[in-house]
Amino acid sequence: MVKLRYLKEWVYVNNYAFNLETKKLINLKNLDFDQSVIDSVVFKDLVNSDLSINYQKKTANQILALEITEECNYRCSYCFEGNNCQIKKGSLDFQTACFVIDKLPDGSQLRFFGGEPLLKFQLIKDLVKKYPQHSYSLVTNGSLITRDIAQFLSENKFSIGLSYDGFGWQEKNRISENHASQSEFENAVKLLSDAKAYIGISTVITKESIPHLYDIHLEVFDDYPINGWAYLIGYTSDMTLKDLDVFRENVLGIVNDFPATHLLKINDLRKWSMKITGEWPIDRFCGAGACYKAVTSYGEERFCPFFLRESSCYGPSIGLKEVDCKKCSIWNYCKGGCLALNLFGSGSTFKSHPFSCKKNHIYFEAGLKTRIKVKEELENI
Amino acid sequence: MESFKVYSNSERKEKRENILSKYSRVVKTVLCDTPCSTPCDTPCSTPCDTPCG
Repeated sequence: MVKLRYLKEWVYVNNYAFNLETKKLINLKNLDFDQSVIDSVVFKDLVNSDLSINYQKKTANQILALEITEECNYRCSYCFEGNNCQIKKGSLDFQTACFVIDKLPDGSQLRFFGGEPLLKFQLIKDLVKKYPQHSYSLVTNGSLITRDIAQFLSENKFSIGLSYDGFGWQEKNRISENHASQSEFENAVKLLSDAKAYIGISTVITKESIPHLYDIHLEVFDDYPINGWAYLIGYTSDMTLKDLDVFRENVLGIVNDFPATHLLKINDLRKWSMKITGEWPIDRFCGAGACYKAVTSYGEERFCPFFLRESSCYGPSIGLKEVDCKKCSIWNYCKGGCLALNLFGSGSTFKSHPFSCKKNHIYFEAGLKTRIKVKEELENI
Repeated sequence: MESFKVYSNSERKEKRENILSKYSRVVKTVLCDTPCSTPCDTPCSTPCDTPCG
């Protein structure tokens, strides 16, 4: 009988224990096992045969993020673009936008972001009118949404990502002209909800908000009629590896306390659960530099919005052959992680960074637990 | 100064139950066939980090 001597290396999932380093899997129901049997079990075999559901892999959609304008009516202290958006005035013009969009296959997604994209609402309207063959999404602080704009977004089936970073916190750190970002947000939710628009919330997690992640999650899903939640962690400069321990407690708290049907409304949990069963539609961490591209307000192409100010990060496509962490136990799911986080942390898109690496190991664990819940819930239908 | 909402255990329990009652419907299909701009109750397969519902 083999004893579980190296407990810290094991991830426990329901009746299974999985070793992140060796990829060995143990069914805890059968503790009297033969080591040779265990050695022959690799994790991939389990998830593919046991956890996956009937699923045909999708083709990744092309997404083009358009920085409609770099101007913003807010000055958030933690914005990844810096907080001087009110003095930036660059805006995309209609002809430049058309030049880029014309290269896309039908059925692509146009994602409008900024700055605050609704400062240039007329340009959005013009592009929607010209390109009815695409779908649309919008990332906005919501402050400029009116009843008419909400109606327009709903009628054109926009997927809307309203930025919201937690009650009180955003009131003090998301500075708008009238210092009422909370009420502006709530007004936007009401207008969009009345128009039956599709609302998601996008939250920037900072060092200060990490301990509150679980409660922010309760807040956004209970207080507002939203369909999905995405949060970004690591894109502010003050995070440490120790903060990720608190992050892990919060994320796993959510995973443990809620059913899969709810967890799949949370972007990263859905993404990682798909990675684990091979459902993720692209063989890399995300679509950046492949099927997901951004265009700056000056018409320059970038890998994704996080590379807006990185003039070296452009091009039609980038490969992953140079990434330096292929021997990692979760390489097949992570593929080197977020290229932007790598660049910001290590100075190279292809050099993995300890923060990103630890974050991805946490998500691997959370995604695994989420996927097992999916399986269990489907079995109980 | 930060001022997040911090819930007591009983408030957390209440909010959790509220959320569960709102989202109690079980879906048989985990992934939908349509691009993520289409309003539906199931998650899409778009590989990005912004919410698509």
